[in-house]
Amino acid sequence: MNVYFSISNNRKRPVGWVILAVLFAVGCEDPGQGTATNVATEITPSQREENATFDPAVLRRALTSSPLPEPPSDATNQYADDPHAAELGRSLFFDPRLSGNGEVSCATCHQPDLWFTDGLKKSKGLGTADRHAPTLVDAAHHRWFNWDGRSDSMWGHTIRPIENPLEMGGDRTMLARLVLEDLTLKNRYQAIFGAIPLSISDLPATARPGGDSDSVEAWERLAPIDQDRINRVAANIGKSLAAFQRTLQGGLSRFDRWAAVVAEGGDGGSILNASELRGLGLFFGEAECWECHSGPLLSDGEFHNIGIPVADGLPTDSGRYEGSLLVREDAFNAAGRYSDDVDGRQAILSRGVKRDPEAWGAFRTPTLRGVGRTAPYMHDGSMPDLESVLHFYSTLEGAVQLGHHQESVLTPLDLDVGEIEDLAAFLRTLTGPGPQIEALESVPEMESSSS
Amino acid sequence: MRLYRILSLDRRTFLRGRVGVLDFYGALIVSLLLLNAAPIEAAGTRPRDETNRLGRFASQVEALDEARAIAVRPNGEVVILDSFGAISGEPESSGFRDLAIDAEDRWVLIDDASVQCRLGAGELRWTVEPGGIGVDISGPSVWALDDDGGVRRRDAATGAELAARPAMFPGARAIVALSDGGAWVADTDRHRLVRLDAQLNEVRSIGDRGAFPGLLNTPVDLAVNGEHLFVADKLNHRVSVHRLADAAFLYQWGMHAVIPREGEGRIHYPEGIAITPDGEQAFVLESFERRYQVFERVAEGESPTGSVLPQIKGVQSHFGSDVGADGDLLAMWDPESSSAVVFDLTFGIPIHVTTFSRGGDGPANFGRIQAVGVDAGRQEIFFLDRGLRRISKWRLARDREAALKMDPFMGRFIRSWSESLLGTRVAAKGGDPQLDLRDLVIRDGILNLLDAAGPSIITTDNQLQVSSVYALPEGTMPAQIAVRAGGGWLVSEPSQGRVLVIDAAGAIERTIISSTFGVVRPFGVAALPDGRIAISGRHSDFFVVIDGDDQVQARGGERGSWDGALWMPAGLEFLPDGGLVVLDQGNHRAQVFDPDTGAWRISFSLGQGHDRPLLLRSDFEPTTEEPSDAEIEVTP
Amino acid sequence: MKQSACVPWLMAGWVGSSVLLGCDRPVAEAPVETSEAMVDGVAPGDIEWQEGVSGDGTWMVAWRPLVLNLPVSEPFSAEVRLARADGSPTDAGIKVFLDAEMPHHGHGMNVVPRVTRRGDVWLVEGILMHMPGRWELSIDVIDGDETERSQWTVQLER
Repeated sequence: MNVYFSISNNRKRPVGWVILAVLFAVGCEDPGQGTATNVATEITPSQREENATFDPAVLRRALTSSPLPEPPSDATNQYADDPHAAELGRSLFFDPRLSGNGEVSCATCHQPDLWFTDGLKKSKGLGTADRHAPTLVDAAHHRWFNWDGRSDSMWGHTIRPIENPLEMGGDRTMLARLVLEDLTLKNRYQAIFGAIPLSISDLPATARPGGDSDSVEAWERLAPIDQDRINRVAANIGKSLAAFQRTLQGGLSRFDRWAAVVAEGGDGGSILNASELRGLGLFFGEAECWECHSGPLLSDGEFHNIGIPVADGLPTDSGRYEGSLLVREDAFNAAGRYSDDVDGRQAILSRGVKRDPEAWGAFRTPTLRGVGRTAPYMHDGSMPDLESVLHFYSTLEGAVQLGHHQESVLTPLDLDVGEIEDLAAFLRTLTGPGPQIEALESVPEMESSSS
Repeated sequence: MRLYRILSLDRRTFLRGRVGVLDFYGALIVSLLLLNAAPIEAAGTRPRDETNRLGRFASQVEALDEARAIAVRPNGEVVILDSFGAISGEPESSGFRDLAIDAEDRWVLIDDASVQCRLGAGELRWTVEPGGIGVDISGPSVWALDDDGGVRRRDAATGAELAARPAMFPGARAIVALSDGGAWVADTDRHRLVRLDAQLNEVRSIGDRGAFPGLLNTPVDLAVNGEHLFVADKLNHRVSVHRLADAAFLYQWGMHAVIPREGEGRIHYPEGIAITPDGEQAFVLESFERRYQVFERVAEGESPTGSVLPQIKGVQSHFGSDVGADGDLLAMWDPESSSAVVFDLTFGIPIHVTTFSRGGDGPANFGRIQAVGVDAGRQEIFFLDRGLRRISKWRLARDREAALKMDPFMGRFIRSWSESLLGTRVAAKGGDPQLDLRDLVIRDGILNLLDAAGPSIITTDNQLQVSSVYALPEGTMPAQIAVRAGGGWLVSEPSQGRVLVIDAAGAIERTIISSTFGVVRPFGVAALPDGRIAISGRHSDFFVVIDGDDQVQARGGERGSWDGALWMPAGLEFLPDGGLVVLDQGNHRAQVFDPDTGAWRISFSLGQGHDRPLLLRSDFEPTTEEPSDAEIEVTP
Repeated sequence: MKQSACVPWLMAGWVGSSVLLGCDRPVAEAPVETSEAMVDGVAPGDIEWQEGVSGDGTWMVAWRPLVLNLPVSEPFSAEVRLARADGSPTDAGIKVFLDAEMPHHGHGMNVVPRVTRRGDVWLVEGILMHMPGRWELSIDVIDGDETERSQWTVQLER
């Protein structure tokens, strides 16, 4: 077990708010710093007192959690910030030809209108996936991808859902054929990545190193050099999709605006209401959400087992335990031959990933940016709304603990109804305007290479 | 009355008479199970293999003592090896370590010296050397496991050795033969299962330390039936069932007795498993509970008993077999979490001040701790780690003048030495470099290590530099050691029913035949400055204090779970205040007794301790009346 | 290095009670030649060595992170130097293992840092302390069949 929100021996329930004067809250009566004028109507005078009573550590944590900077550079993808690659990625993202049946695109489960999720408990592509689709907005800040971190780069990860028979059901050879067949696509691809030393006549309809036996056998019949070239196309497709996904930014939330004002010495009181501020105080204070939902992404990007209840007895999803093996063995990982930084920081991390049985049932801490838009929650979508999530942390009802004699590693937060309301209200302030994306509604006209 | 955490339970709410003698917690848990069993079990687990499953609790057979192995004949007759290695029904036999019976009623038996094969209970087919600790027979092969983890395949018809490899899996506890000539090995200390082909090549291995489905903690016995491989996982307290071909996890049963004695489908420290050839019954040996449980096939749509966790908390800790105490410190080991637990002795009732380390194979992790030695002067604790084959030294970083409080940062890993390095140092002093270390105790800054291989007693300083090696008589089978005041040692030999009193030069001064005062299998030993000796009895659930003439001065403990009662008592130590601490392993606690009278003083475990009795014998005595619904209530 | 991810950090070397005598001879004397001119935008010469003695006094150990402020949940590198307390040479077979643990949480890091020897300096890459709070950073010196630890307390604040 490897997550703790508090240490049970030391935990104290708050008796009331600790009143601590914070220097910059004194004498800053004017909240009008320009950044917050559009939400100024929500303030009442008494709310400024809430703001002034935050413990300095709470304020420090809150202020270091905003704003979310630009996504960190990705040295494993030399095209990460190439606008042409991003534009190619944008069209591919909405292109159902990437799927096995020609009907499912990335956008099927990552819908722009739903903060790049699908609103479903478990995602539906060709079949029903085992997990809930996480948002792609601000996802470029992550270090590990998927709930179990089975990939260590966004580009490397895009290939997995394309090949997953429950999701898009395509494969890398199909991708190469698509690029070779569609002259427009081929030209765009080659303009960015260079020539493709493959001929469509050499490529089977489907072939990949894992999955059904026909595909695997077809893959094994390919010459190693062709396998490598197909992989290269798939990696480049992934790199263009990643370049697009890096542009999916949530933007400044109300919380960010509050933090900007407070950081400048204002009290921000016109931006968050009293309930939201109380929620903020809990979040960055004794509810200890910040221990894992840390930093500007409001996620430590790592893996924790919080014992999410399972309906039918025993958990079956081993989460990071399996993910740690997958990422180390992934041909498309940061240390692999398709990475552009094989000895860089991410490659070193990936080589050093522990396959620790204590990671069994651990899942990646989700970002809370945009959390008001990404219901349902948890890796299995088992919690329909924020209140359910907070109720779970409050009581740990049904939490899975498989240690024999050990105490629960999580301590119930024991929140009252008002505290749950306040925390939920604060969480809903973490959503910005979201990415402004025009979906391509129709499949691009194909300019066939044979025409 | 001094208490620092009292169990807030109301004894009047006990359920009585339902399951015979129940302990305090047992009554609580059973009442909860009665209330909750239906919904919990109905929820079930998602089976990956709906057909052909075993695991429905049928019955349990008690009063076995600490049996070594279980097997079942084709006719369904159960055969047990008892705590001395005697075959059930053959009281004159002894010393066997393992037993297996195949579908043709071929028996294979192994002891320290040899393996033998019999047809049925009678006709001896062959006997060959050497012996070992595990054996099985199937089709053309007999497989045997040496005590150093070596593996041998023999011809089932003649016993002739076909293939052998020494020390393949140190610490491995079980091997099961397959009809294709291969075998699965329970590589116990590495928490995994290993498939061998007939040439002893490692074909596949699977497993990792943990409690989640498909993970293993301490696989100690294996059985095969049809396409299923059954694993008795001792410290996960369950049987897990795997696909024979690749050991992929299928399902599990018997999960987690949360209180001692619980039974009725919940398993506590399973030690052995046997399946009838027709696959209709499974027998799970719980040596520690002195019984076995019988499981049958699960009906369609039904879940195996204990396939999900009980939704209730039982005891919060359990302890290995050794306790170390010196000055103001007492230390034990929790096998399940592989962590050390340390108590401060300043205030009479031992107070839990820190827990450190956990399972793993890193420099500061623990594997399987055999013994704990405490040096209060240096605030150092030494661990004899047989799982990782090393000796580790930790030091407590604490202010001994400050108020006591739980501090998870107190324990600091200092240093470790491999067993082979110690062996080299022993050899330099004229001893045998091959070691089989059983116990470790520290007195006056000197480490005293008990070695069963030599056999010998090894003394070292706190840098593990060997000062002396004292040979013990050939054939000594030692378990625990104590240091006598003024020099010399006590060494217990449970399987020989005796305790050796050894002088400072390493010579046997006298031999105590402990069965003369009722201690059939002496285990823990401790020495008082005035020459008195305390000995705990694994079989008899009490301890005695004897004088220099072997006269019993005091006797304490009796079989049970109330304060002052014991179940499988293990290590002993005298405390600075004159108390005798007895590790009451079967009740998941330690107790302090008065060595002059045998009277109970204190019970303690993690986070709790009391010096006025809370758990009374009357709470555990069965009543004849069935409880009414109104009586089945629990005070949380 | 993102400034937002940098946090104040506190460190305290810990040495066993019996080994303080060896502390007067520094392991790392400034200026130290480093294998990396600049790491993470930081000139290593600007960063102080943290010195300590291993638990049984065998080794004098020094380390320094190659960042100015230890980050929460961002990987960083460090350098380690060793010397035997008795002045005898450090043989080529010595291995160094750096790890960090949160004992009160019962877990350590999710990754194993990469250690490479570069002359007298061991470069440790990929140290990732993913949660704020108290960490115990350890450096184990593995000399064949013996392993000995030196340990520092690192407080990562958010």
